[in-house]
Amino acid sequence: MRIVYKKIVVCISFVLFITAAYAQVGIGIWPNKLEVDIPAFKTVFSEIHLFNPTERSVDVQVGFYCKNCVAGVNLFGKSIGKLTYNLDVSVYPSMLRLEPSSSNKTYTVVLKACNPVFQSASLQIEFFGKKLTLPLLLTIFDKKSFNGMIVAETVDGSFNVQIASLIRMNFYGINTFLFMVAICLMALIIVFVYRERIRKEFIKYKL
Amino acid sequence: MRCKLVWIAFFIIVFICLNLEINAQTEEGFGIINVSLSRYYYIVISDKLWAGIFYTNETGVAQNVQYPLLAGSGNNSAVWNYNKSNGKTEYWIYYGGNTNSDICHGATHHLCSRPGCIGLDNVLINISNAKWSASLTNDFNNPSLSNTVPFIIGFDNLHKVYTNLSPGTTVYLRYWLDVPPASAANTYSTTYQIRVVPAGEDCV
Repeated sequence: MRIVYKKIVVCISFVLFITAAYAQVGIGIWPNKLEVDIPAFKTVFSEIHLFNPTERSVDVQVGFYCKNCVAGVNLFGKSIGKLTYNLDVSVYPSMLRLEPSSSNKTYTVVLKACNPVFQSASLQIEFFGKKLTLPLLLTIFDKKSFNGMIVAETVDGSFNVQIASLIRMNFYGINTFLFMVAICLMALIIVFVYRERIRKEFIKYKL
Repeated sequence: MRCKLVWIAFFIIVFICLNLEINAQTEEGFGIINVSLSRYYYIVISDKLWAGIFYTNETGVAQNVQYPLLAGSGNNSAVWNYNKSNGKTEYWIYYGGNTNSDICHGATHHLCSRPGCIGLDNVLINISNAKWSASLTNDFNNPSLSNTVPFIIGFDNLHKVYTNLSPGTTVYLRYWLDVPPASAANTYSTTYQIRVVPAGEDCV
């Protein structure tokens, strides 16, 4: 009788423990920081891993948020608007279900970053009280770094739990020195061609 | 003819310059990701926090039951601020991993009578009327009402829940709400949010 009683107590405790653990919600991520170098005209893929530390499955949404993609634009010290870089960065998959920790599963999220060198951007300016948005293509010289974060957040429930992995992306573009050399060469060629033409005309008139 | 040749030569030079640069970058190992694979962290929140924060009056606090609030009433506790059996809060966040972190708190929008705060008939209570308090100890006095921080939309970088939090730590939370005078009788709702970031980093 006593053994049966003990068994019942153990069973109830186990059920209570499982229920308590099952009710909690959690998300885990690794690595917590990431640095990615993206060469010119290349696409780079990197991986972030998510896991569920609890015994309750949870649906999460994963997204990339840029922290320094918006910059103020000044003209003669006066702010005229803001410049927004539209980075070609995406995350796959953007939605996933994290199964309970007992399944021992980790989930891979792939970050895709493209570097076309000519970076798409939009300039928002205020012109006589009207807001104008101008699309731009900006060339990346040497190296431009963008900071952002990959955030995994719960989508159901009354409380939103988010966990972030910081990401620093170094976009490499045209070397400034080589670009200057190319410009100088072009100038020299133009001068040379112009001089040749003048010389030809001079000879023609002389004859 | 000669002019064309010069232009072709020019483009070849530019192309070589650019190509050299790109190849130089590739040879130096670009495209390789520098990661610290050993750094991971995770967060677990209590079932009561996951269920949501519901405010109640004094009678409701004693019973852990939600009751309607009166307009103009202040410091209305969340239902599970004080568990009637032990006086402890049932709102907590457990932080684990192998690196320190910061935790930020906030709300997605004001307390609204309509979902998503949309509609002409939507009535809102400013989210700053809701406030939270955090502590590493959990008893009747901690987290305390005297250390409360009002909620903001988004994440509060100035008042983080905890900074440089070590793994294996549980942070306990309590919530209160001031109902502005002349607030219309409605069910107001918002979504509270927390975000974990590496220690020393901004949450937004």
